[in-house]
Amino acid sequence: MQFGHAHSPSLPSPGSSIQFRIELKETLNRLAFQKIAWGLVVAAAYYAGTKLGFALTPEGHRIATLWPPNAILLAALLVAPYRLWWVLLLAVLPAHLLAQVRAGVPMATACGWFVGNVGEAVLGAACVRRLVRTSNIFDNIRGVVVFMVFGAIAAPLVTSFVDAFTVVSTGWGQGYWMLWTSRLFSNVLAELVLVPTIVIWCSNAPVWMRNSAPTRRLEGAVLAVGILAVSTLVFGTLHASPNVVPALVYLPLPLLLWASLRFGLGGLSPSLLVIAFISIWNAMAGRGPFTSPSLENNVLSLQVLLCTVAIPLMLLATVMAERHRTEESLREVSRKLIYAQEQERERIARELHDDIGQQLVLVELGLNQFPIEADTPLAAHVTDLRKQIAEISHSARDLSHGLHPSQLDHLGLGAAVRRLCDEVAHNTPLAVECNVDNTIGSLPRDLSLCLYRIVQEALQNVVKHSGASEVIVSLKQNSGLIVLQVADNGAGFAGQESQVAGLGLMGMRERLRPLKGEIRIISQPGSGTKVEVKVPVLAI
Amino acid sequence: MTTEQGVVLADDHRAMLTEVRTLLQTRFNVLAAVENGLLAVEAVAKFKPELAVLDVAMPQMSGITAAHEIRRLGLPTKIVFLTIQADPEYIQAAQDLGAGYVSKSRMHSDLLLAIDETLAGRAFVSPLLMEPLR
Repeated sequence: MQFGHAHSPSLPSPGSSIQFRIELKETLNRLAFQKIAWGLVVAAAYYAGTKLGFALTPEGHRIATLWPPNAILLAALLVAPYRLWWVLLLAVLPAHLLAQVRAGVPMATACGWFVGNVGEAVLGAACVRRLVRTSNIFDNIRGVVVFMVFGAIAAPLVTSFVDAFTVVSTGWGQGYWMLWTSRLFSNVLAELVLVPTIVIWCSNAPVWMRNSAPTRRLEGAVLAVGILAVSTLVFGTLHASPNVVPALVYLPLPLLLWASLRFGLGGLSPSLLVIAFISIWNAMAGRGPFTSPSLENNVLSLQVLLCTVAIPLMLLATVMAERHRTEESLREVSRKLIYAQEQERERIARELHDDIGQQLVLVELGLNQFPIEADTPLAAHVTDLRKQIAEISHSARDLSHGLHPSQLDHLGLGAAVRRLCDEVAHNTPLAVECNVDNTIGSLPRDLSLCLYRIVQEALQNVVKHSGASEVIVSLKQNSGLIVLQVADNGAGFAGQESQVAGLGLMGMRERLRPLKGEIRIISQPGSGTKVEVKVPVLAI
Repeated sequence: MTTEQGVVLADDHRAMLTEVRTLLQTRFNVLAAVENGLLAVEAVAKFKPELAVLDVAMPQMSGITAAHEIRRLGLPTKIVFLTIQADPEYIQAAQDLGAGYVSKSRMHSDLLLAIDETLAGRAFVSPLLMEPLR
């Protein structure tokens, strides 16, 4: 659940103090509401977590096998703004005492445990927030490692001393180091699996749900069902006996790998949570793959197993996420480069046309006005000069056109493509057939430019590499989709298309990506090459 | 005094605009001289001249688009394009619009002739100066 930050009221003009007071009250109400809402939600979650923790405490034992509330509070302290921390800590106190006392814990023990529990959450959250920016704790290696070291290991480690001491000194239990160990592991495990789940799902789940493709959501659902089924199978139905191969306990591992690689930490953590819960619940009922007669030992083995599996997988998931981000930012950079290049080309083309081109014409016109008698040497000179100026004009125009085709802006994509075909037909021995659909209306500027550059690149490839004698360029519009094809009868090629097209193909793909277009290159040795591009166009 | 026919000029290059104006104002009444296609459409809609002489490459709105817009508004103004562009696609576009097409470097020799022809309802295209040097 996300709560927005309150807006501060803008000061209205003096003389409307009543208005000001009303707005101030509204803002205060909003702020108060925000605090109350946060407090209630976290307190309720903490209470529920405590009840769950007690449910996971074996009969007669003092320490739970998995202790959620500290992790819940730590997650809340990571997500909430600093100024709300005191609200949360205050709200959690009654929830804690209520849940503990109702479970039969003496008041003194409960108070001591409050210090330990809250201490763990505050210590962990404070360290993490000091060292890492809260907006990206779990999407990079550094953040995840900081969380693991301080939030999941150091904080429970330190506060376990407090909690174990509380139990022994209030006479609620005995065996300091045994208490210390079991409390440590139950908290470390809870922190590892609960905190990333809560933090990531609070910030990303709504966006992910909205933006992901249905196939991806289906994949997530299948994974979830798989995790549930396998955990129940491995931990719930297999009875501990010497005949059962203990390695079967690793059966969930492929599914966890799937979760890490395909869904990152946001998919791995809930999976780990489910497995932890199911395995521990069953272990307490005497089921599961661990064969020791002591429940404590079985649970400890399970906790150690889960922790040692969780940590490397979490790091793997984070590395994958970082890699995806790097790929994405590389693509972003190449997009920006392409954009900057086009801007620069356009600027130069425009200046060539406007400044140099126009001025040359003016010079030409000026020369035309010289009163010269025909057939004199002077007339010959002037004619010569006029010819030279015309040549310069022409070169400047060609240069400008090569950088950025003005037809594209003034006459549309169809005219510009026809012009390209004419140029190729004129300058090379290729026979060019140009089929441009006249019903294509005016297209958005970036789309036109993108398709133009692709035709340019494709034709260049045909001229340079294919050895073809004929090329057909076709541009059509079919039900909201623009289809561009450049097909030649040249040598074709086998193997990776990128080898031949080289940077050209990558550039084309990158240009098409923001336009949600696709490009395919179909080629067989000896039967020519076809470049096919499809881009959606919003119907006007 | 004979009533001169009104003309609206459009060119984004100021020196060129002055040059055209100087050429035409002896025979025509220059009602407006603007620097982009958008202003050209506005001026034509406002003054309703017999003729508009438009550059093609202009900011905000090109001459071609402005001509389409003028036609769309149903104005009877005749149009002559005066431009550096010499490509066949432009000439085709001009002919599709029923407009004349004059190359700027042949302005002095061709423009007045083009205007006369266009006002008389005949198409005129400036003979291209020379074949592309390749």
